[in-house]
This record gives sequence, structure tokens and C-alpha cells, in this order.
Amino acid sequence: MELLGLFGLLVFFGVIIASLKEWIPQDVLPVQSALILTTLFLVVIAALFGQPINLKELSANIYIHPITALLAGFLVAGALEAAGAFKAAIDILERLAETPLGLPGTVVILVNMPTIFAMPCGRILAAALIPAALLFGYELARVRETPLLVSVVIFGFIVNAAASCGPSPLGGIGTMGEGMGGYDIGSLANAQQVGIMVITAVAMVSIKLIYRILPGETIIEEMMEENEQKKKKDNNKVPASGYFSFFFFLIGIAVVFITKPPVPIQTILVFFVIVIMLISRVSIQDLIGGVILHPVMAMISGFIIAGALIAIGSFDALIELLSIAAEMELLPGMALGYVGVAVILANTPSILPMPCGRIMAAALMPGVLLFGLKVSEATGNALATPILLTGFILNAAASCGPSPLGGIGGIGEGNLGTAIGISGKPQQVGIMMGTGIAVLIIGLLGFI
Amino acid sequence: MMGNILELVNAAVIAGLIVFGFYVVLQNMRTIMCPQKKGTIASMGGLDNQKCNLCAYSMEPGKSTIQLKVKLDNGLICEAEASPCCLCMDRMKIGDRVGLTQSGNRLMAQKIGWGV
Repeated sequence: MELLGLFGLLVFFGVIIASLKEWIPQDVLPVQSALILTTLFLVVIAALFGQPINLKELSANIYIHPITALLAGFLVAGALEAAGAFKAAIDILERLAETPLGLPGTVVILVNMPTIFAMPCGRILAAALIPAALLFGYELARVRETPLLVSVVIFGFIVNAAASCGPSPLGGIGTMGEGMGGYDIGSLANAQQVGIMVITAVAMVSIKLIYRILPGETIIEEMMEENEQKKKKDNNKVPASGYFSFFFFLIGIAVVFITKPPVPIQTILVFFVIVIMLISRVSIQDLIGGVILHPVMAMISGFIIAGALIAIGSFDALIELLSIAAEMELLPGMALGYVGVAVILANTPSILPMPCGRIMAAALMPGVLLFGLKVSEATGNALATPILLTGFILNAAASCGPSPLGGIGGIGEGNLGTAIGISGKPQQVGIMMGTGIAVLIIGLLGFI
Repeated sequence: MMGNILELVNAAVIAGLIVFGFYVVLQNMRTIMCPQKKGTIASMGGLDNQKCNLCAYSMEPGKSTIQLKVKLDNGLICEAEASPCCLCMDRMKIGDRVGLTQSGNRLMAQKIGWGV
């Protein structure tokens, strides 16, 4: 094991933990910037060790396809928003509540809506649909006379939104792994989506039965008045282009996955954008304002630090350390084994939850792929790599929900007037269970 | 022939998206370094007494941005929008200094330093 590689690995995890513990103040130096500075530090150290890293090595790990797919995805999201598709979604949910499906059935669809839409960043739908989640959550709580149900609905919705960037075909985290692993686009998505449903359900059940996160009473009162007003105000406001865009997008994406056309996803997404723009008559400038650079930058910072870690041999050191951990006997005759270590590796992102899952996903993906091959060798299971990859991707995607560094959970906590960070544990429990289910699906059923 | 045209379209889309990416980054830098207007956040999502950047803010249904009211340096109040990531990852809060840049029909806000 090379000393420099091991040092790089320790520095990387040190910076991640220091950011999480806020020993590195996030107001001054956000984790993405800290990782770029770490890269520069590693470049200097490598030069001092006589192993200089050149710019080509650093940039070799920046994959352009996930970045362009993500940009195209944001354009689609912007076009859908501008066309009123999210408003149409809320309106459709309100109508559904009046059908035999009822309020509980509608709430089930609502909390899973982010994964159905699968936007490139969960925050898009978290922001767009949280008023609806509050409205339905309160309605359900009022009908059942159980205020706790507001928290159940909100945090179920939040964790679903957080994880939804994993299976997103619009440049989601999954597309990064599928591209790097050489799998067809969307091949890991269905297992992730089932996993997300499990994550959502487990998080909701654990809030109801174990964590019992109650919203502030004044918040509930305010919400009731506000939501009643909003409900009245927003009636009949959805333009026809909203419904068209809503159905065009959902049907279009379904057709793309069923027919698998021999065209890059970027071309398809740009086609979607053009059609929605023509229908809703929005300009490209309107869409540019809605492009969120944070996930792009988070991903690029992850790619850059991964480039430095590859160049100094940190991933070789990681594989060696993980192999030692797998073979080391904790008790006589009892070792974690390669599968045991793979479970820990797959859950690393939610153990060290970053404000954007793309940071850990991009930074550690090469190591995960390499360890997947090692597990495959050790267990003789040819599917070991996609199994580990699926678990890691889903776990990374969902990890921005419980992140204490500005995770999506904060949106729910703020709206319910609860303590900040209180929703972290139930979300993490859900994420671990859902990750397990997603990898079981790939392991037992293959690429469904 | 058809295959060549398709390849050309795909290549043009990828190249276009890369150029678009640079344009978005430049736009973002422009908002941070030389914004059209500058001011401080007076309210977020209709709440004007919220101190916690992650806490309660109400949002317009179906809108994926957060609505802000910004007190401009000339004393006027204007309405702007910020991405939901800015609130969490940039820890944007009431009293923060922001730069504003018009993009289509949106006035986008981005956190800037007091020196800008």
C-alpha cells in the first residue's frame, strides 16, 4: 500500500468528517470548496513526494456526459415548471382525493410523486410540491385527528424527493454509475425506485411508531388557515399547457425506457424541452434562471477530488484496506467478509450525509466499482458490481435528505416548526432498509 | 445517411449543452460579481421574521424556486427568486446580501459578499 495513497484517503475522509461536524465552518468554507482546496493540497503533497499530478490526470475523471445530461435535465425541469406541469400535478392530486382512492390513496401517490417525476435534483419537486404535501398532510391529520400524521406525510415526501435524483434519467446520480460501469441507461433505475418506495414507507412508519415527531401547534393552526386560502386561490389557475406538459413528460419518459431508442438521453431531453417550450411559449432565458448550479458544482468537485485520489493511488489503498477489513477476524472464526464490508461501503453516503449526494457519489464511485470487482472475485457472483453500485447510488442519492449540512429534511423541519435535524434518524433508517431492498432486487431478479 | 444525420444532431446537442453550461456558469458569476442590482433579503417566502435559513418558508405551489423580497441599496423593495439549493447549501437567510440579475421573466438572487 502506498503511503501517499493512504494519506490522501485519510485527508479526504478527514475533510468530510470535519465538514459534517462543522469543525470546518460551512458558512465560510462549504464542503465543495473544501474538497477543491483538498485537491490542491494533495497536488502539492504529491509533488513533494516526487509523484507530481498533472492537470490531465485531474480532469481525466471529469465525465462530461453526466454533466450535460444534468444540464439538459434542469432545462426539462425548468420547462415543466414554466409550463405549469407541477401545478397540474397538484390539481390532479386534488381531483384524485375526490375519487374512491380517497385522501389516504392520494397521499400515497403524493409522497411518491418525486420519484414518479424523478427530476435531476430532489429539491426541484420538494420546493414545488411542499405546499401540496402540507395541505394533504394537514387534511389527513385533521380527518384522523392525529397531528402526527402531518409529520409522517411531510417527511415521507421529503425523503422520497431526496432519493429521487438516484433513478432520474435526467442526469441523475444513477446515470453516472451506469455510465462508469458500462450498463445501459436506466438499467439500475427500477430497483432504485422500488427501494425508494421502501425508504419512504419505512421512514413514515418509523415516525409514526418510534420517533413520533410532532409539529408545532401554532404551525398547524397557521397552516390550516393558509392552506384553506391557498386552496381557494389556486383553483382554476392551471393552464392547459400544464396538463399537456405533465402527460407529455410522463408518457415520453415511459416510452423512452420501454423502446430504448439508440439516441443519447441528452438529445431526447432537448427534444422534450423544445416541445414544452413551443407549447407553453417560454423563452430560453426563462429556463436559464431555473438552472441550479449547486448539484453540477457538487458533482464536479467530487469528480476532481476523485481524479486526485486516483492519481495518488488512494483507491488502491481503499481496496486494500477494505480487503483487510473483510478478511480480518473480529472474533475467532467471525469476519465481516467481502459482503459485510460491501454493505458498509454502500451505506457510507448516509453515514456521512453530504448536502448533495453527488459529492460522495462522484468522489467514491471509482473505488466502489473496483471493490465491486473484488467482491465479484471473492464471491463468484457476476452481479456483485451492479448490486454494490445500485446500493451505493441509491444511498448517496437519498443521503441529502438527512444531511445536517442543509439537507432537504430541513425544509420539512422548518415548515413543521420542529427542531432542526430531528428527521435525520427516521430518514436514515428508511434509507438503510431501502438500500437493502434495491440490492436484493438486482441480486435476485437482475436488471428489471 | 440517416445515421450520419442523427450522429450530427447528437454531437450538436452535446456541444450545445457544453456551451450552455459555460453560459450558465458565466451568468452565475455575473450575478455574484457584477449583479444588475444589489440589496439585502427582507423576507423569504413571505416570512419576514425567520432567522433560521433552513426553517419555515412558504412557497408558491408548483414553483420550484423560493420567493424573496429584497431591500435594494436605493431603499426600494423588489421581489426576486432563488433556487432552493441556495437556502440550504449556501445558508441564505434574511439579512444576507444578495445580487440580482434578470433572466427572462425571473429576477434571480444569489448570495454575495459585503465587499461586492
